[in-house]
Amino acid sequence: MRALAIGATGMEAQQLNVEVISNNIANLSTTGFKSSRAEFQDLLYQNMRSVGSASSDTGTILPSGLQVGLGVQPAATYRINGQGNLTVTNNPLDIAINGGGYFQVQLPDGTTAYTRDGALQLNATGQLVNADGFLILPNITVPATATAVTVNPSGQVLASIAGQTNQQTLGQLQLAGFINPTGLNAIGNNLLRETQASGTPITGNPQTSQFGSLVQGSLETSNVDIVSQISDLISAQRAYEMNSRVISTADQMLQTTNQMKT
Amino acid sequence: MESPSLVLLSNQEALQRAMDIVANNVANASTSGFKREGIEFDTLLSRPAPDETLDFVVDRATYRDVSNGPISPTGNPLDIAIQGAGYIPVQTAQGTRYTRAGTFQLNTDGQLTTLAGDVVLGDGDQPISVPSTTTEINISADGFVTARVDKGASLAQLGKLSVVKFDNEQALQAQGRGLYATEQQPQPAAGSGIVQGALEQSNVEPVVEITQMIQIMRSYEQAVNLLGQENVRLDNAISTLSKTTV
Repeated sequence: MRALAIGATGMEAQQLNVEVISNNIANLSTTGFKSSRAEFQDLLYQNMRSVGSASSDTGTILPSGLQVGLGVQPAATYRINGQGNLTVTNNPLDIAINGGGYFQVQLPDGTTAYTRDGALQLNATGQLVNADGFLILPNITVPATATAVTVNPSGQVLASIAGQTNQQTLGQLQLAGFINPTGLNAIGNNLLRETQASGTPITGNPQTSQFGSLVQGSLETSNVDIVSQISDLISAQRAYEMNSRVISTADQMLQTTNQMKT
Repeated sequence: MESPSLVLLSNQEALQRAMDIVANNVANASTSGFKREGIEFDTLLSRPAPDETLDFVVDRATYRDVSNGPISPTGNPLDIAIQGAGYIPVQTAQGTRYTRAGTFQLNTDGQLTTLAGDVVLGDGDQPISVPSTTTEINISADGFVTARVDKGASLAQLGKLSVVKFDNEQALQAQGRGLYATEQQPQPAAGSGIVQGALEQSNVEPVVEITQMIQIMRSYEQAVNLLGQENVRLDNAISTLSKTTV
C-alpha cells in the first residue's frame, strides 16, 4: 500500500515547514534578517492507465487515465527579500540600507560575504568592521582624533577632527547587488555568500542604479511578519496531523486485511 | 461459487488505490498550485453464466479537480498566482510543460524561471529577461512585466507572461514538480488574470479528504466482513449439505 509511504513524505514535508517557520520566529529580532518560506512540489506520478492510450482497435482513446501520485517533496526554502522596518538607534555607526544592496564583508579567509546587517563597529586600528570584527569593504579607517563620524545617504564617510573646522572625507561605502538575491547562500552570522545561482556581484555607490540609500543611526529589523508566521505554524501543525491520520488509516486497513478469515 | 470473494477482492483493490490518491492529496496540502485528484469507480460487467450477472469494481480513472485554490499573499514580487483557468508554459529539458505553481526566480542570465530552473516562456515563447540593475518589478493583471531598470528611469516593458488553456484539461498528464505535459495545442486563456506577490495554494480541502478517508476505511472493513460471512456461509453449506446426503 503506497498510502503509508505517501503519508510519510507529507509528514517530512510539514516537519521541514515547521523548522523553517521556527527559524523565522527565532530570528524575529535579528538585524537585517530575511524570512524564509518552504516551498513544496508533488513527487512523481505512477501511470497505471495512460491518458490518451488506445482503448480499442478502432482508434478510440481513453479520455482520462489512472495516475497515482507518490507524495510530496520539499522544492526550496527561499528568502523573501522585502525591506525590514528601520529603527532609530542613534548610534552613529549603525547604518541601515533603505532599498536594495548588501554591505560587503571580508571574511578571515579573504573571500567576500554580503550582509544587510549594518551594526558596524571600529576595531583596534580604527577600521570599520562588523559585529564579528570582519572588515567592511572598501575599508575605511577612522582616525583616533575624530570626534564625530557622519555617513551621508550616498555612502560618503566624513569625520570631524579635533582642531579642524572642515570635515575630512574618510572614504566611500559601497554596496553590492545581485541579479538573483534569492540565490545567495546564507552562512549564518547574518552573512550571505555568492553562488552560481545568485550571479556575480555588481558593486556601486548607494543611491545609484539599483542601490538604496544609507541611513545613519538606524538599523534594519528583520522582515518577519509574526502574525503570518503563527498562522502558518498552525496550518503546518494541522497538516502534519492530517498526514499522520493518513498513515493510521492505511495501517487500520492493513490490520483489517490481516484479520481476514480463511 | 468463488464469485462473491472475487467481487469483494476487486472492491478491496480499488479501495486501496483510492486510499493512495487521498494520501497524495493530503501530503500535498501545502503544495502551491496543486490540484486534488479523485478516483472514479466503474463496474466491470461479466457474465460467467447466461443467467448470472456479476459487477466487479474497477477504478477506471483518476480525475483532477481543476477548481482554483485560495490565493494567499506572500509579499515576494516574483510570486505569481493565476486567477481563473489556465497554465503558464515553461521550457524544460523534455520540452514545453505547463504549470500553475508561480514561485518564480531569476537565473544567472536574469531570465524568469521556476524553482526547478525551467525558463518561463512568455508571449511568442520568448523568455522574460530582467536586467541586473532593476530596482522594481511589476506584473500587471494581464501579464505585462514592467521594471524600473534604473533609479529614476521610467517603467520599461520587459515582456508578457502568457497564460494558456486547453480544450481538455483532464487530459493533461501530471509530471510531478507541479508540471503538466500534453500534446494539445495551447490557446490563450481569455479572462484569466495574474496576481503578483501571491501564490495559489493547493485546493485540497482537509474536511473532504478526512471524510473520504473514513469512508474508504469503512467500505474496506465492510468488504472484509462480508468476505468473512461468505466464508461462514460456505462452511455451513458444506456441513449442512454433507449431512443431508449421508
